[in-house]
Amino acid sequence: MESVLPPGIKREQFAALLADLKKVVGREFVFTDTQWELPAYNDAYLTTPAELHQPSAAVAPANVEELQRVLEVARHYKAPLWTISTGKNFAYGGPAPRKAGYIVLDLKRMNRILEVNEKHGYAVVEPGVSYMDLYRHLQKIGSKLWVDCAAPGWGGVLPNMTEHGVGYTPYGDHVTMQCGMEVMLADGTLVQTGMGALPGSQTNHLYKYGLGPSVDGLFTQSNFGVVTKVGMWLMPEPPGYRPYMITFEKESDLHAITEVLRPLKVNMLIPAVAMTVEMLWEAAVQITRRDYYTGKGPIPDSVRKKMRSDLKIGAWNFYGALYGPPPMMDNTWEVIHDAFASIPGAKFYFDEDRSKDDVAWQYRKKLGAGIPNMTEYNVMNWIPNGAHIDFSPISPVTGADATKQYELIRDRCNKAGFDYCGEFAVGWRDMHHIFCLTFDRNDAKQKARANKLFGDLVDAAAAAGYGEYRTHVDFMDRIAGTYNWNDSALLRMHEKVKDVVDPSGILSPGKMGIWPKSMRKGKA
Amino acid sequence: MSITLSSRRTFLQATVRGGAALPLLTSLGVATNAIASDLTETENSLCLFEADAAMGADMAAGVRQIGLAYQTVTLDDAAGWSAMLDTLESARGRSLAVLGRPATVFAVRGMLEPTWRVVLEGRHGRQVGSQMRHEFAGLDAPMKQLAGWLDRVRDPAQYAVVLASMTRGEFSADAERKTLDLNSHVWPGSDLVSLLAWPKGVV
Repeated sequence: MESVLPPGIKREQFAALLADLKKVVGREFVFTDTQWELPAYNDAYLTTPAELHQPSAAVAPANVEELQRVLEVARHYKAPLWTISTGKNFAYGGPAPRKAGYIVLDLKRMNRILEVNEKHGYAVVEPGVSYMDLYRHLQKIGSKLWVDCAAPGWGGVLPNMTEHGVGYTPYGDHVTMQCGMEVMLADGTLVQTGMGALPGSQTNHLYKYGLGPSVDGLFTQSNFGVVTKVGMWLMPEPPGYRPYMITFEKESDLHAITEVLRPLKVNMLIPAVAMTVEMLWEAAVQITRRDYYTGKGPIPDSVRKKMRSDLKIGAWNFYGALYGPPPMMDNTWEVIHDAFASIPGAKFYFDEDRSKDDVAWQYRKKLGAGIPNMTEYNVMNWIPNGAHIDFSPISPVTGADATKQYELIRDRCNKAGFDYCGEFAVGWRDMHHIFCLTFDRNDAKQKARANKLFGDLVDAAAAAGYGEYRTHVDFMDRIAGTYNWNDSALLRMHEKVKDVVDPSGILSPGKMGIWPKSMRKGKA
Repeated sequence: MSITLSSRRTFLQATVRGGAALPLLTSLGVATNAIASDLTETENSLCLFEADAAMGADMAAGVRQIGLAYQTVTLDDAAGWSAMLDTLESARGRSLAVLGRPATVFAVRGMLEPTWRVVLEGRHGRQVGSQMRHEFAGLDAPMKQLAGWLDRVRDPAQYAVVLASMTRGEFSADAERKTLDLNSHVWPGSDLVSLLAWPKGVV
């Protein structure tokens, strides 16, 4: 790998810039070695050439003081920084910057758990704290608070929230559960949002909105500042936890499942982020494709049927959980059971009904109780050299929409020679439809097909009125471009904000399609 | 758990028909003066392998028998993953051999870099016709040393030992990275990926 320079910066300036960064964080935490260090900031799951996203360097400050000085250096040289926290946002770009030459601002070392408040049920964390870290800490101090984690538990608590991630417990909507934020602006100003703006505030992590405009959302999926600290509400351990799984026989059952589900979610009888999971996702975490099929193209129905039978899964598999005192759980279960029993062929399972070796059940059971694990990563064993990018449109919770989205993706995906592997994460009023587009990362042709398919899906979904909630760095401009109502009024507003809060354009240029003025013409 | 040189030598002697231990150790990069001293940095090498049936017949038993310092890795268990992170944090100066299914090793590598240097990655996949394909990427020196062993090891456990036997020897961080593809007889178990790494600063 050849070294690259930040856009607009000459080699001598870059050398001076690096020297200045080393003065701030120490030689040890400025990474420039293209052979040994910078590959850690590549996205192994790219469908485009790695050169397009190769950083020129990475810098890892240890605290806000160092961060402040790093920003000062970046402003001086007008050097673009690409902020990452734990850097595990794989399927959406991982740690890789939007464009080649950016300096990765790696916040992994800012990994303190600043507070755990047992009484009010929250924790305050820095960007580098992973779900594993927080879970370990809570275990160590004997806390009775639960983490709500992403499926791969190495992800960061703060960055998953700022990327609008969801989990699996009743506290699964992470943005909703965030309360209190500290942000550093590009000019080095440290801002406390909400109640935190009041010196000596007693309610920084208890009431979200403070006085005046609530600005926390401006710093999620954005490049308007660097979030250095957040409060996250944590769920107290409930008096009872009973996860369940319901399997459905037919592909076409998705319509009925979703219709049954909506009132249960809206009325909060299913409090957690529930999951409707297609069979291949279930299969891929525990077997490989070639265990059953070595042909090319989508897996035939006869093979899928055999898999379902062997793994005791359905064409669709619904995961939820009951939380609370046992009598309450019993009553709630009666309602849920009766509702889903109206779908012919539905089968109901509790923990005692599933095998101890049932990989899919066991990790879902953990997720529902906020126990981080990495099991879902096994999906990457599905095919040799497995990699994935996730296409993630939001769907209304209706049978018609779920089916329409499923068919829209499945048909295009099969035509392109890929298997559909997906799930719906069901919130209060919406579903995050996650299509895990799995490809062989050593197969250039497959990567090209995956890239094209992804683009086609963006366009087809937008034409049908569906937008994505999150995306890979390669598709940020394209998807931001679909949110173009009233001559892209929202994007233009974002750009105005960007120009004011980051006039030097140093923070994550191009993140979610938002470019600083100096780079707008050059956007990819 | 520490490794005794004699057990490693026993393994190497037993593995290679007609081979003498000393030249083999040397060819693997084990410093010959280490054999005399009975204690080397290679004896501190550590193996992480996936705790999974897919690794082949009782990997743990095989590795334990050989006397290699090891820790199992699992994607499924927060405690196990945490223990691995603790081990890595305290593994100053030790070489690390990692062996597991692709997703697991990818995840481990994600925790190693950039503070560790992965000098070699091997992808070991079963091919049609009872062949195993080994695709290596990394420094030339360890790659060449390993290549000679592929047909001699019977299973992943033995390969893990060979991998963990590598010393940093004459590996240079400045050396060019290369790739090498080889075939061998089939190992039991599923497709695997291996890593050989040292903490930054050691290599």
